[in-house]
Amino acid sequence: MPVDSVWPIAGAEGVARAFEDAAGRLETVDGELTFDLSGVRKVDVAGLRAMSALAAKAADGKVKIALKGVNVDVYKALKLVGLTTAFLFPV
Amino acid sequence: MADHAPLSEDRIAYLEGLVSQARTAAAVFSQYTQDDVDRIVKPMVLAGLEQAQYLASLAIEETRLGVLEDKAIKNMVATEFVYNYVKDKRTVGVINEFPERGILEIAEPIGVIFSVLPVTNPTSTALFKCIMAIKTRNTAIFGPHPRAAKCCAEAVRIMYETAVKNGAPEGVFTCLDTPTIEDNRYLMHHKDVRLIDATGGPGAVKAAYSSGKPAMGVGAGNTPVYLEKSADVDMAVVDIITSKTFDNGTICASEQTVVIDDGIYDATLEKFAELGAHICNPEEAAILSQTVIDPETGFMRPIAVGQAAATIAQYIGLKVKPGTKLLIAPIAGVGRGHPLSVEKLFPVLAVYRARSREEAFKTCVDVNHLGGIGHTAVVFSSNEEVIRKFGEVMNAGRIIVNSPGSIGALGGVYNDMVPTFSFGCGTGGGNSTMDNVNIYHYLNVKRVARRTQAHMWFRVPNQIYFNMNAIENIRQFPSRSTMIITNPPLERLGHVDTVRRYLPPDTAVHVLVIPDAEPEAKVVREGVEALNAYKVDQIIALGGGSVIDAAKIMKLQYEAPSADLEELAAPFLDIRKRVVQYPTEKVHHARLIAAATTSGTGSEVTPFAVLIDKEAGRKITLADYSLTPDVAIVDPQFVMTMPKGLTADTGIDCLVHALEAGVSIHSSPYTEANAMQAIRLTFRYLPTAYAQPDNVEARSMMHNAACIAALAFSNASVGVNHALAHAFGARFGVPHGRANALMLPHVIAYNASVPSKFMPSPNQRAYVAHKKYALIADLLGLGGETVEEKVNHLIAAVEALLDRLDVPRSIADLGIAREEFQQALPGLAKVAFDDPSWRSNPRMPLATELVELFERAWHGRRAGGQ
Repeated sequence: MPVDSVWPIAGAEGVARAFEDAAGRLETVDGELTFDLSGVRKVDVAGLRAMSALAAKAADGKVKIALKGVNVDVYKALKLVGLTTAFLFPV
Repeated sequence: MADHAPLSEDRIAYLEGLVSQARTAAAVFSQYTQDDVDRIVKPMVLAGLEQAQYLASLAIEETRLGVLEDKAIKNMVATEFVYNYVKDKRTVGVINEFPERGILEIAEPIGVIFSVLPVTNPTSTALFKCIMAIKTRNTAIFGPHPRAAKCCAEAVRIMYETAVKNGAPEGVFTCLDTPTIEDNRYLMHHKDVRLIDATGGPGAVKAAYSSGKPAMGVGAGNTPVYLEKSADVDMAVVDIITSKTFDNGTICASEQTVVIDDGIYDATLEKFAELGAHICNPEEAAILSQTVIDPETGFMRPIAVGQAAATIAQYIGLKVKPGTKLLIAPIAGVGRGHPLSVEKLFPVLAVYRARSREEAFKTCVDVNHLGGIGHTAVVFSSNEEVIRKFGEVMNAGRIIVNSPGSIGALGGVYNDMVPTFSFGCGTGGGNSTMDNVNIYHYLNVKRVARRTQAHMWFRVPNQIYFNMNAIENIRQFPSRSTMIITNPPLERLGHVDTVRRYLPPDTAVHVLVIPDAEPEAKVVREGVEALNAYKVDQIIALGGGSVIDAAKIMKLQYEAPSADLEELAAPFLDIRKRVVQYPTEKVHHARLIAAATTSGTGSEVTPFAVLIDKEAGRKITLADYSLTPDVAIVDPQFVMTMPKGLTADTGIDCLVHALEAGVSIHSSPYTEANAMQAIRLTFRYLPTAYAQPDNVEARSMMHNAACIAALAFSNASVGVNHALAHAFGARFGVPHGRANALMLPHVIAYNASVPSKFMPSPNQRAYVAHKKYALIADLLGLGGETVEEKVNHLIAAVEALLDRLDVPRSIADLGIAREEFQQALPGLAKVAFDDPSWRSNPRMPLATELVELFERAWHGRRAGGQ
């Protein structure tokens, strides 16, 4: 997987799928992994769990995970489960 | 709940899993809209209604408490009635708007709630709390009573599956499978549990409050009922039986002791018996009290809770008629010696014969305080006075009138209280709320407060007459008895005769000559006596600030003799919110006409008056718009003979009034217009009035300027210049205008620079003092390009004006020794800081800055060097 590749995600359902997929291939990633959540209005339980699992897997810091286009409602949901420190939020 | 063993690792993992799941669900739920939520609530309510009887049967089967039909009704109340209350309520986003106050209320969910469920009302409480949680976007972990674990789990399951099917996040509810005290303790202390809602016994409630978390614990009651002689006894008896037998008395708001007025006691018991109650004789009552109440603890025995009256009778060997609904035992008092006076969650009712209303109230208070503080009390009466007094003396969150206690307290059935299954008992009951717990206890309500523009005002006398011979206008005011108040020099100048000439011929005229000094309390007292003696209906104050101030206070005390001047002088920050109000009820009415004889204080139009109380050794400053004269006369004929020094001092006072009002934080377009005009007139005419005392135009214009400046500062107040001048003038005996002059250039420079501390000022959107000074410089045609240049030009112009008036330009010039000044300096700063004048200054002066300003005034001029 190339550095700085951006994974666009559409809809709440797509979040879990994308993050689970990324978790399965995390070892192949070098550098930073970016997800574009600008198409996501809200995140569901499965999505949050997948994000949490990926964050745990990337906790060693070898791969930085960046979330682009996160709306403030989703950001607050991440804050409520303590996940905002696990990701980068590029402006 | 007997398990005190430490939690196993598996159990901890289980509990952590529940919390994690609930926390994730809460995060997801936080994104939901009101429509999302409302789409979930309605099907939950319908599912609860559909399963009401099924859940009631589960509860009966598991707990062996209560009555199937009643439990089914409770389940329906918990769903249908609660829905009826919540359905149109906003609980997401903006929930209330108060545009007139600029306030928005916005809901913020709490997050994970740990909710304890009771054995007495298990399924209804579970249904109720599930609906509340969803409506408010919260998630809940339920900890049921171990003897109601299965029925609660089933109620929660039905609610959960319906909620998720209709869009709620997974994990929104969970219910402990085999609940223990240790589980509860673990969850109550868990960092991710945000609120504990404990509906249950005293142990659970105490544990909740001991956890250190926000908690709502609602607990035991002991409901007294007063059956007063004016009551509808037939209705009362039916209501009490209905309530006390409802679900076999398991609702903690149900009646416990009925206190009955002597005159209706026998008839009431007959009615109870007629409708299916068994009235115990003394022997039966003794057996009952020894069996259903534990003599060791003094509390009810759990075995009796929720059992039918006939079952209890059979258990203790009482012979009662078949179908007996209720066991009634007369008691002779309340307390440990009268076991049946405590809470009894079963159909056993104590009754007490009261010989008087007083005795009845006291007995109800005793019952209320015997384990039922804050909970519920009931009164049956048609006497409003009795009902109100009962409400005052009972410490109960629910005081139910002429209706059943238990069903009445639930709300929404017999009254318009909020439907609930959790009764807050207030601090008396060790609870954080006294309300019927409802959706608003499941929300954090945030308030968005917009900046409001405070109402402002421009209050001035009704009429102002100005220019030469304006005094003639007094002839239009009818009066039977007029008092002219003046001082000796003015009387000698013949001004009193001038005034007398223009009064209507049928007016009885009296003259009160007071000393030429700030008014003293004794002078005011004598003046009020004179006003009373002549029953005056009009006062003409002919003089400078002292005479007019004296007249204002005399009028106040003449019209309202009970006015306490010391109380009226109490400090205030905002005149509209002041604690002490001036009297509005008056025994006399007198018109106050103020004819000014100096051109400075503007007292003829101001709402202020100062009184010296020599006996007490203090100065009393009064401020209220009711002190403002009704009519002001600004007639220059009275100032043509002012000495030069007085012309200078009062003229400077006028300029400082205008400059300070102009930059005051309370200034408005109305006051600014007056301030600017007064400044313009003063710069133009004061030097002439000073140099050519006979110049009528200059005198006239300065007289107008003083009045116009006073119109401004009466409504915008003054500033730090006055605070400094008051302190310095009082300490060194320097006339007010002269003391003002010493401070003025330095204060302008000070206010025009960036403040070290801003004054809170909702009416001003920016710091504008320097720009206002620049505007004044423009108005005076002083030139300059930048704001800074214009401010400097204004300071130079002020200094030039002061030079022309021959006033001392530094404290040193006054001949005060440097050492004496330095010794006085800390005290001066303290007095100045205590002076209320600076509270409208654009800069909040620090104590060190006041010292610095005094130091600058010591050294003198700013512009053009020393």
